[in-house]
Amino acid sequence: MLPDYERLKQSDMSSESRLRLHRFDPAQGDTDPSRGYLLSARGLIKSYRQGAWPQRRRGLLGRALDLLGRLRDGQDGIEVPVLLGVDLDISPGEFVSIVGQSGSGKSTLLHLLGTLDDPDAGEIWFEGRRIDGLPAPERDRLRNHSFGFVFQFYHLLPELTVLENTLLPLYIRHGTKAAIRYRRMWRRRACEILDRVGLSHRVDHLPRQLSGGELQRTAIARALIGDPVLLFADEPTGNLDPATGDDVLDLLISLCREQGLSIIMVTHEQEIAARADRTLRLHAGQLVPVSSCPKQSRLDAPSLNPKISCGSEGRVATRGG
Amino acid sequence: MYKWLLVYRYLRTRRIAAASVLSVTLGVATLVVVNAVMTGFATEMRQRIRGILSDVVVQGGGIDGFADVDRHLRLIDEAVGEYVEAMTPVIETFGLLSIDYLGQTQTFWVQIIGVDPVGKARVGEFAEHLVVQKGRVPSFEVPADLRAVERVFLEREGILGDLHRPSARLVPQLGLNGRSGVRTVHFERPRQGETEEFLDKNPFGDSGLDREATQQQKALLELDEDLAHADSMGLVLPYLIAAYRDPSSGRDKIVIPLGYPVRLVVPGSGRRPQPRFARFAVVDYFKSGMSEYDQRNCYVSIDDLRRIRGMGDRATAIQIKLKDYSKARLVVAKLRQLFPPGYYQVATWEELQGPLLAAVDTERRILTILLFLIIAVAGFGILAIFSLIVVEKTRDIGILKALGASDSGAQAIFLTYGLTLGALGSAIGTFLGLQIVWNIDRIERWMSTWTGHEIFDRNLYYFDQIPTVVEPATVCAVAIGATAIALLASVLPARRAARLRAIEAIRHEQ
Ligand SMILES: Nc1ncnc2c1ncn2[C@@H]1O[C@H](COP(=O)(O)OP(=O)(O)OP(=O)(O)O)[C@@H](O)[C@H]1O
Ligand SMILES: [Mg+2]
Repeated sequence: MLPDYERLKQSDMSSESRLRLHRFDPAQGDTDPSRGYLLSARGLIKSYRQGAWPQRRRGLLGRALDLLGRLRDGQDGIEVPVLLGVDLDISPGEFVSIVGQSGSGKSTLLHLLGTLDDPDAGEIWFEGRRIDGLPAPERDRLRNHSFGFVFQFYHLLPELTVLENTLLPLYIRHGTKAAIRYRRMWRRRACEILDRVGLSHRVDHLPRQLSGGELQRTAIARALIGDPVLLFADEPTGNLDPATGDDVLDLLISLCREQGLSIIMVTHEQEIAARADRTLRLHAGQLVPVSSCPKQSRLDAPSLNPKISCGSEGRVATRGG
Repeated sequence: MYKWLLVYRYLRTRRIAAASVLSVTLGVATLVVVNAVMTGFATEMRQRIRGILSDVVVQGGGIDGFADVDRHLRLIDEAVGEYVEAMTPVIETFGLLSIDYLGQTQTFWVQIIGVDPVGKARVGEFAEHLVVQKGRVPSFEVPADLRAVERVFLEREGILGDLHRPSARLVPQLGLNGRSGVRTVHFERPRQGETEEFLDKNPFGDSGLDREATQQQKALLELDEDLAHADSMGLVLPYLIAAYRDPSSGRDKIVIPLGYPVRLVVPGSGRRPQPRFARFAVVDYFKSGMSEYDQRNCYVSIDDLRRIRGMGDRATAIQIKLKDYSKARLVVAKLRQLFPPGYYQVATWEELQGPLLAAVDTERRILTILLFLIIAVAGFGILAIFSLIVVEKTRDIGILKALGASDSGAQAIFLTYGLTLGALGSAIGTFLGLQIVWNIDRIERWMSTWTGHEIFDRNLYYFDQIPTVVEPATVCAVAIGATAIALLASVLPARRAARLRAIEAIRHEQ
């Protein structure tokens, strides 16, 4: 395989070659629980203990405090179930939106899928590999190389400029030497992406000098710079006016169509959700397809079998090989 | 890469970090200065002591020393000749120096050292410590002009009335009858035949049992006659006896001029030492900068001293200068086989001055440790500041981790931060310290006038400048040590950053 920065240089490779990266051996299909999906989740369960003393404290003192807290609050606090067996399959190049009430666990689900948190039970498969419970270094690599994150609260580093924030995934991926050697190229690339989200005039500004929408778009640029395979976007248009939101969405959809980027997007806005290939609702700890999806015509069998409802024919064909 | 970027930004945006840089800087600068000055003093002192003592000393036999010096020299040459650059016999004894000054007699306890001036100059720094003959081949000859001065003083003061007449024959009247003691010695012209008479009823000697000694003393007394007839001999006077520092002008004032007549009482050699008297004229002053020596060390010609004390060719010590001082231990070991301990003492100058040097070294070591504690305090400052920054940056660390930064990467940010702070503080501190060391006299003078106190009392040390020695190894050790402390202080916060779970940091807006 090419070194990462070599791969980076070919960042504008064709959608074919990108999709080829995700092609799996069909013979494996039966044994591989992901069955050719880019990402599959099976029976994800997650609950939090509210009021409980935070566990996982370290050291003698920490453990003693844990014990004290538990003694005081009675056994283990109140159990708050958030996810109660979530199943989800994402095909390569598919754009899925998730809606749900506030507090229904959408962010929690994204974090679980993005290996930022561990489910209490269930399995997550990505590119034919089980990724829940992976050792930390492999997760870090996965998040950096294959996933892109747009966090609900943007989460930019206040000390870095828009450009540096955008380039952060590359800085993390590569060493200092590469960062110096490819400085120009990276900058050009970052400016390109920032241009596409409409921020080319804000490149050297600090986050505190930006508006909420600009922060959000910077976060989107950062999520895209590392050429992810799968983008997790937690309300990426929450702070944008309808027009800008539409522009950003156009960008995401075009990446989806042209480069085979898969997207899981959480949103509260019906119109935005409706532009996805399919929309799922997180309700009572489970994901259910939204039947009143206006783009139903594009889906094969939306309510019965979400596994087949995966984007356009061409993409399925490519996947099949 | 991101860690350098972040460290750089944190350095620039966190003013509080500057405080920890400053504390490291001050600690390092102080350490560098204190070390340079203390090493300077120690080096200067060692150099002076070594110059006065020579490298290796073979001594024995008390103040009478050992006979047959030439044979000793030959033996040394055969045993360790290859390492020896020069050696010279010396006689060290004590005595009383009397100076008639302003109508009264002042007597000082002195260390009398008989040396061959040329030989002595070869084994150590001798000429360098002479005020007049500095840089020349030293000599105890009394030149004609000083003789003239001497004569003027003798006549004008009239105090040495008996002495300056060459025919005068001197016999001491000991303080036996309670008339005199250590402080002053009275000179009286003895009557004919009194010498023998005195010897015969010598209350300390049993002439029957100690006939040999009596013979020797008789011989000595005959010698006195020669001494009394001869011209006075040259003597190098301790500078602090000859001069005092005028507090108003700060200049040294020499009150005992060159050519001034002085008297010396030394113990004669033999089983029953008798006081021996001799006249000297001051030919030079001994000024080494070590007050202990400058107060006591009287140098005379070894031949003169031998004659006065009736020692034949004896010497109390042989001073040896080595070609390479690092061979000193070897030379001492070999010489100890030759000159068995108990009869002789063979030692390097460091061994002879052991306690003093050890005291200075201990002082320096303790001070270094104490000053390192200052840097350790700075280290705790860094620890506190970093812990705060980690708390403050919890979200940032979480974001970095969420974007794929490893635990060790998050840790590296703070380690790099600590290292950078430490290195920066050390670098500035070293620079500052060296600048102070290099301009220390100017700074001292400025501070003295500013505070109105003399910080460095030049009276005390007879240094014109504050001696400083910058040891590169020490400076490096200080700088590296301080950097290490800063790094160490950042380990705890860094580990906390490494343990942080990304999800906890990014779930909330802040
Ligand atoms: N670490 C935690 N400890 C306790 N409860 C938690 C924790 N994390 C999440 N929860 C709870 O889980 C539930 C789901 O939270 P989550 O952030 O996933 O909601 P959400 O669907 O993203 O809501 P919103 O639309 O407001 O962003 C909430 O009730 C929250 O209180
Ligand atoms: Mg949320």
